[in-house]
Amino acid sequence: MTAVEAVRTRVRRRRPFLWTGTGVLAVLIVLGLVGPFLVADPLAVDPVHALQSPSGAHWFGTDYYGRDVFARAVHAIRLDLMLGVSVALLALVIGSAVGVISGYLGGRVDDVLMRVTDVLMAFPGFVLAMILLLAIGESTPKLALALAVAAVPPFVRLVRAEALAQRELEYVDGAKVSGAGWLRIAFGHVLPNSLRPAAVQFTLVCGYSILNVAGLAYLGIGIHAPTPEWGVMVAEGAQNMLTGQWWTAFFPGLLIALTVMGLHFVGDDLGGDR
Amino acid sequence: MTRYVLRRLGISAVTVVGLVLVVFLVTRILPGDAAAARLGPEATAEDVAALRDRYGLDDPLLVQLGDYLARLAQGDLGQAVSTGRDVSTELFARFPATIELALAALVVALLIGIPLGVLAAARHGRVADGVARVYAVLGSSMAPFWLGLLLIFGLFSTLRWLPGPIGRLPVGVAPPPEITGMYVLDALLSGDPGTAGQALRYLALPALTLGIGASAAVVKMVRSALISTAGTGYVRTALAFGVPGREVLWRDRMRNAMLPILTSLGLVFSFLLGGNVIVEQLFSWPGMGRLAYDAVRANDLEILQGYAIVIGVVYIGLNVLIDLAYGLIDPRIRLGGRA
Repeated sequence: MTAVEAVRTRVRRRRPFLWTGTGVLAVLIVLGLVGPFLVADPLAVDPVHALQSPSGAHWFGTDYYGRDVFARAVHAIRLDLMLGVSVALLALVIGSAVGVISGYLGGRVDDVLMRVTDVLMAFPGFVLAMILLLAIGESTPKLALALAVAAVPPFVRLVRAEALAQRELEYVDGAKVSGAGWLRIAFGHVLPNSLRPAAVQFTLVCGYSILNVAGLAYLGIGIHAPTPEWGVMVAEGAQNMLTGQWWTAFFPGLLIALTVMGLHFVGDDLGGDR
Repeated sequence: MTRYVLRRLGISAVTVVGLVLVVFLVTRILPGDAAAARLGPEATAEDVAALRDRYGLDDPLLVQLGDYLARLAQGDLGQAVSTGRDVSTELFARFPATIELALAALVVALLIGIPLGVLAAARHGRVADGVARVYAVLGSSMAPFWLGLLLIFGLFSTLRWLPGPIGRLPVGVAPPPEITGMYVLDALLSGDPGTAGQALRYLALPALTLGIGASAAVVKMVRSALISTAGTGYVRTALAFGVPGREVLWRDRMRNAMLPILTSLGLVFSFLLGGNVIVEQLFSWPGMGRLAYDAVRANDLEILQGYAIVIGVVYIGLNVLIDLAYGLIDPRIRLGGRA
């Protein structure tokens, strides 16, 4: 290794965005796993102690019904993170399957699949998820499905672009010569080699999905009160914000921002943006 | 150029047809029972059957699609189930309010995003760059409804600098005579700077909320587009000839960065159009997003499908404009005639 290369490696190793993001996410995951056993009941109503400002007893204060905002916010971590990850995972699975078929087969199949993707991209994702969810009826799995459908197009495009390049490589010819069928080549050989850009997109989609889950919940779609969920909590606290009790909506919104920020820091770094 | 324009318009026409088909499929067939979903859990079997009959939901699918397309071609988006009013009329009446808000937010996004993005690229790898990148991540990490609430809390509840979230004008102030439907512009056009000022103050908070979120994307794309021009031959040559770095940045690099910046403007539009349901609800802004929110509350898919089609068509139209602007900016596309 030359001296210049050594310096470059050292600079590249200092990746503040990656480490900040990973750190934030690690804290959240631990808190999400352990927290629910340690904090108060998120649904326990206590009208006598309603709308108390943050204190030693209630770190994030209490809401209109006297529920502990910290307990609710901590209980929400698991739901929001799980939804974000499952939406992105679902979109990745659907999107990469469609993308690799489209890219590997090419021709007419590719044309049709790309037009369909164009149509899905003609909606802002939030609007598409909203009408999908209202049409198929609400439930948590359906919420994940609706958001995943809206998040599929970028995965299709990324995997397809990579598959287009991969199918020209020698190992594909090798697989053909050894008698593998197209399904096996596409999914067994080309797909694993085409996943990298989509994997980078994954953390970003997690972040957007958490924002969308919370946004829909804020509008009263998908997750409903009194479930502890960050969007629901902000919606419940919105009125208090106008009358001065800022903590009821501030803290759950802050957790959304921190979570999505952590995911974006990691995603930006892995995407090579330094 | 003509061929390029025609080809682009052709593709988008296909996309619009696809869009209508998707909306039709989603709202008519997917649910298994659109009527039941529309009436809610308390509906009896007879209610559902009556509604299915009224909307022709028991007709063969192709017949339904034919009816739907025929009505749509005449600009008829159907009747709202919840209010009984004409969906096209309702959406059209609220269109200017949404456009006014989106335009104002776009101005905010560009005013913050372009200088910050240029600064980050010029100081690539240094402190200013880091600050801009953190801003970009923060801006896209905040939920718009939360950011809006923070702005309301700070600039209205606490400081009293700007009016609260009660719509486009104070109670009791008559809207300006309708010319474009955008209050600020209309008031100015009819020589009423007082009302224009008030409308602008009411516009400020929602526009800031949407604009700050969108500015994050603008910072990102301006920064990365400019950075990618850094090592190119023309930049090296210009610098070798002794052209000052600042001039190279604004004249040569900015020009070459315009194409990727334009492309990603599509993302910004998606954010502005998709975010408006939330922001219009939060600020009681009487636009299309607010109508969609009311439709969600009333479980009115008829309004929502009209809303989705209008938003989709506007979005496709904006992307066509972006593509056509390529031709204006880049002579290679204009003269080469390739899409």
